[in-house]
Amino acid sequence: MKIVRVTAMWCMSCLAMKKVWKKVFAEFDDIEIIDFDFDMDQERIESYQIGKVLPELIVFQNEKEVGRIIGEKSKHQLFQILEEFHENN
Amino acid sequence: MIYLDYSATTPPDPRVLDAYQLFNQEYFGNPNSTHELGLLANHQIEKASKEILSILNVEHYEVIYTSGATEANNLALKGYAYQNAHKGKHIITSPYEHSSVTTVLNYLAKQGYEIDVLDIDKQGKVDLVELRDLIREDTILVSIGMVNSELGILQDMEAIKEIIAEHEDVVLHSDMTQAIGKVKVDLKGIDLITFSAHKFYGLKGIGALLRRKDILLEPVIHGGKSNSMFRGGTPPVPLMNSLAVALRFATKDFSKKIEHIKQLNLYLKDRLGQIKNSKINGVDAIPQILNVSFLGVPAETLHHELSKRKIYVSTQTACSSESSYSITVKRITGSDERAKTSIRISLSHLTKKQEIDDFIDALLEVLDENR
Repeated sequence: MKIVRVTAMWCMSCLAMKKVWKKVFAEFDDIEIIDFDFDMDQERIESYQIGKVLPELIVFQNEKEVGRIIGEKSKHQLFQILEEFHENN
Repeated sequence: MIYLDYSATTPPDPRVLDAYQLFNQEYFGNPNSTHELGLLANHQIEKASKEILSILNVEHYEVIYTSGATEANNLALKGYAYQNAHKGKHIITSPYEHSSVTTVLNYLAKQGYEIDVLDIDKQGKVDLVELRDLIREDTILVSIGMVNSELGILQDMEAIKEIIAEHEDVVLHSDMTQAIGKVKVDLKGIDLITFSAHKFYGLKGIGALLRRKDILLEPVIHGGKSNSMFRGGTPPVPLMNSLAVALRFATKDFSKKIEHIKQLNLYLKDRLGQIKNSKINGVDAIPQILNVSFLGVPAETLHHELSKRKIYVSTQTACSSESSYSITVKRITGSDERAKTSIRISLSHLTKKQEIDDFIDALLEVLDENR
């Protein structure tokens, strides 16, 4: 599973999610994270059409986008969402 | 023009402008110079600092003058974190901080510092039980702003100070930018205090970090001892003095000013409450700030239409790539619709009741056209 993660330095939700990501991603052994900065990487993320709220995680399975995770999530919520992506793909 | 965005900035008090002009003429000497003109300028800095500390009732602190609150927050957070990295790299903060705090903490996180963001309750106050639980041996710093800029939520600083006081190795920083000059503050027990003059009728380009004198910081701007060993650069004496003058006048007749604002706030709330599909966001807010959603009308539409009529309010941008979605409103209310349709109205002792009436008339017109 590949996750494109778009964050910004000014984003408190992105800061708050750092610990959640670390804990949850550690529970999956096939996650590859590709990080982009909303302001610094504008051209590189243009094609992803990032929405209004950050952070935004775009989840890919076999190079196909299977879903997006937007904004703050609890550890439990994020784990469940990723599990569902795994089961359905 | 009807200006209802006093939390973004305030018009300078004419007395501050006069003092600034006078100081530029009379005290233009470089305070780092050792001749009489330099010594005279340096003496004026000492006088300004003494007055600031006296008004804020924190005599045993150093005033480190900065270009504003952003620089002051950078110096407080980076300066303390770098200086004390050997003690630990754990920092605790609230989810409401201004971007000048958030950005610095994200920057520190990239350098290996671990940042915990506190939960909040339904009134928007930080979870004090969690704060107590999160403090550990390597916690060096807690940074919690007293007043949230979007909703005006007032944190229980006394309770926060009590918790921090139980841990002698933990330093408390508070971004007081939305508090000083607006609410009564007791700064004792807060180790690092930051603020900016333009929020209380002072000039843009000057702010301060008040440092408890036994706390050491790594400078962010190196440049020799100058006025403070923690901040290089030729001291801008007229601006420094203008900060003291602004604070002097902002705190004069304080109770009378606050009472006027409280009355306006009640009146505005009452008028807004009569508008269909309006929702006030936040309950325990300072009277200067009123955040309200008008369901069905995007905030940017309202903002734009009011601006066309020369009425100025604000929308919010925290964690949103567009100015129409407020994460803070979402956090408090749980509603996406309210987050998309919220505007902040901020009042001053200068605001007149007639301006509120004219604002409501224009608002009704805009809502009618856009619903």
